[in-house]
Amino acid sequence: MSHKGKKRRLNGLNTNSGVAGFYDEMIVFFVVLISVFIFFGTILQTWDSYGQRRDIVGNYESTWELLNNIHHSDLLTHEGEAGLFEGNKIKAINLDNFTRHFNNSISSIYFELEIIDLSNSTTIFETNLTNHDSLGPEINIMAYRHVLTKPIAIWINDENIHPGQLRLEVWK
Amino acid sequence: MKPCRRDRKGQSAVIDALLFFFIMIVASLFLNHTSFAEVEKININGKEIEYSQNVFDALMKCTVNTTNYTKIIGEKKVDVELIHKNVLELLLEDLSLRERAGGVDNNSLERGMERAISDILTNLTSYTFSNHSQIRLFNFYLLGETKYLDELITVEIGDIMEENEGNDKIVLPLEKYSIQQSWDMPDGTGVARITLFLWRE
Repeated sequence: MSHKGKKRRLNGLNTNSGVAGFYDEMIVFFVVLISVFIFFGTILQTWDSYGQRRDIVGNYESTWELLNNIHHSDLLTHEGEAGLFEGNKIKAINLDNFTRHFNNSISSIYFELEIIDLSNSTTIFETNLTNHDSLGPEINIMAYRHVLTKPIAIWINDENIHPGQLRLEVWK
Repeated sequence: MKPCRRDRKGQSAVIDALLFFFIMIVASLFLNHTSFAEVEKININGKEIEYSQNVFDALMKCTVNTTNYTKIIGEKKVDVELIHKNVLELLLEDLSLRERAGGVDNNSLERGMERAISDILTNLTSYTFSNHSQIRLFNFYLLGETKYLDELITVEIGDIMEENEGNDKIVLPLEKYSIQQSWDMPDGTGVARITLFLWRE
């Protein structure tokens, strides 16, 4: 078995100092060290931001889903027609039956819901933050906060259907 | 470890290290950029189309308590009052009145029914705060069309008309959301097509 080829390759690698010889220079060592720190720092920071943003996106999706559930809910709609809210049902609703109805969606979040009749600019339903022992959102301690709206029609009777807005504010 | 060598080998190692540094920086930037691009893929378009559909559905159901238009009978002008009509009924009525050219004062249709519909649409496309102040979220353009004796009859509601060489020209932005639905005309003359265009301000 010939060792010629192997010997030639070893010669090419500057066998006096080996691979570590590359780092023999102090300046080279520091440049490489800084590069590696920057790269791994970026990986960590990216991973952290990625996780945070994923949470925000996920929470945005679940807020939208909750808004859709309310928009389609039999509890509020006239003859089950999505987006057509019944004035009497809105008046009859209170925080207790609202919370009971949407328990799965709102058990872990702070929310505020408003139903506004746009024809006369009146708020006809509002949850007053009494569902949680909180004084309200403080921006600096919130993981996220979303405010989403949906246009609706409010059925008073067949001759009076008003434009309205469903406004949901969610924070954690 | 030597502080700094100035011979050829030393310089070559520094250049290699700087190259490595540069590659690491590029790789870091790339990593940062691609991860953010991935997360930002929230389906905003899907939400806005859904929002547009909600606006359209709510609009068609809303009623206008009273509105009127002016009918021209010979040399006489008669005010016709419409009570508790929903927006869809008003749009179809508007189209059928425009079919009978000459029988109705078109300006009265714009001042009456179309203004009322425009007001509802403005409310529905705005964001209303708790204190009831509003900001516009979307601009809108509502187009009603029908064909009568091979002639295209249209109703246009929106604030995008721009005067161009003496003619009113519709200028719609490239990025917009549109919802369209068709209904039979109440007088059986054909089909009415109503399209709502929405776009961000």
